[in-house]
Amino acid sequence: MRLFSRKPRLEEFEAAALPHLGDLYRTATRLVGDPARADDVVQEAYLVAWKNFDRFEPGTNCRAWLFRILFHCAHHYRRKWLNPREVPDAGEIIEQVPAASAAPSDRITDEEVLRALDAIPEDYRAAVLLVDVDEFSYKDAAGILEVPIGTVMSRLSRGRKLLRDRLAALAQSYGLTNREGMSA
Amino acid sequence: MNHPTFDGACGHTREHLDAYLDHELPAETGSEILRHLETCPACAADAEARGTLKSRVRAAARAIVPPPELAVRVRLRLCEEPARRWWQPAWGAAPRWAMAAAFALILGAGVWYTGRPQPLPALDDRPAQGAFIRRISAGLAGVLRPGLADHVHCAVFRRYPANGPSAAEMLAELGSYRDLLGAVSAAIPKSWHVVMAHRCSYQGRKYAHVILRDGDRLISLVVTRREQGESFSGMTPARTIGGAAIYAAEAGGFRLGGFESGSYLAFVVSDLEPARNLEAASLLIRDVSRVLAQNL
Repeated sequence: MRLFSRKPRLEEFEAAALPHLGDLYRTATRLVGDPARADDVVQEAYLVAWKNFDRFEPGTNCRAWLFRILFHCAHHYRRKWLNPREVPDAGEIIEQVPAASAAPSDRITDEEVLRALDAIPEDYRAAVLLVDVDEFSYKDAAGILEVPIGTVMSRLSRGRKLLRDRLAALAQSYGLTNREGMSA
Repeated sequence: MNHPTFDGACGHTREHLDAYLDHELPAETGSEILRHLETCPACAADAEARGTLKSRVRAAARAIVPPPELAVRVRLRLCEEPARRWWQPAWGAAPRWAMAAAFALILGAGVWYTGRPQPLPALDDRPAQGAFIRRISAGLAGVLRPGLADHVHCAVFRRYPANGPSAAEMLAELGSYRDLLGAVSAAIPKSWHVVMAHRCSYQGRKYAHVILRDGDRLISLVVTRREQGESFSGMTPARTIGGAAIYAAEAGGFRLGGFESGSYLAFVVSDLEPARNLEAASLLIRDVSRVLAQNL
């Protein structure tokens, strides 16, 4: 720990951190499931980041650093306020959904895509969010989640498969054929 | 449940397909996958389906935008909290025993740091919000306080609907102040847009309020009838536009530009830099004063 580090300036922090507000808010919304909760979690993440800005190395990836803090804050928020049983166990879900490999049909709305994403287990959802939505590399995602790269890859693979299966099942329930389900 | 199984080149491709689509494969393996996809319709279809899913998820999640007041709330909380001091434990660094020991030391020494600002009140805690507004307004001239109070109460401490009101709804909400909407819309820069416009009240006082956004910055035009004895006279104008004076001040991280028009006080309040807030007041003063003169 650096004992006598230079006192960080709020303007520097705001310039480095606030451009990522939109990305953090979007991800927080998917992590805690509600815009109002996301609002709280993002505020908390920025507060923690500001208090620790002296530990941030200029020139390194500020966005990844903020996301790492955000995931910690979201985790604490969920433990404090949300019932962990709200999201079923990963293995349970995998057994419940039919096998399919189609992309979502155009007739499936963005809201339905997000609902399917929200329904997959938290660990898988986090990997999908970081790589597919926030476009982090596997290495950065592993750093943010504090797991090995191999774990990110397996969570990503399983999370995407769950998503495909859920959306394929939804397409079938709408009477879309497998061919329609494949449309881009 | 039966899953399809793939042997040989197909199995190898499916195994690496996610990493291929994420551009995470070494060049040699990526070339192998690409060559196979060019000759195998089934694997190519799978790759297309996975790519489409990725795009759909990204587009759906990215369509969500933060509420306009969130950046202001974040800035307010940052202003309220000092950066970590060297003796305070860093995030993710201090073991629990060290934090407990530090806490015990503080208690043991009987030292309690009372200068620490209070945290930003919760969005549903109206009494705490009132106390917060009174506290940040304390250093302001009395004539400027109504502008700051209504901005913080109404523009910062609220959640906006995902879809803002239409122009027709805002005109209806403004009632006799409806001409303010056109005057403001015509005067503001192209990057700004109106988020909300309505009549509101705070602590018994009535306001016409137009809330604007420029990226993550939140700006209010607040108009209220002047009460007995309220005047900017005695203050030094920050700028004079066509003979009309604008008075500037800062409080609690907000910047204010105030001006008088007949029996009205008008305020431009924001978290913009001081010069930009004064510029905003300068842009609005002429047209807003014209509307208020008609409203007398």
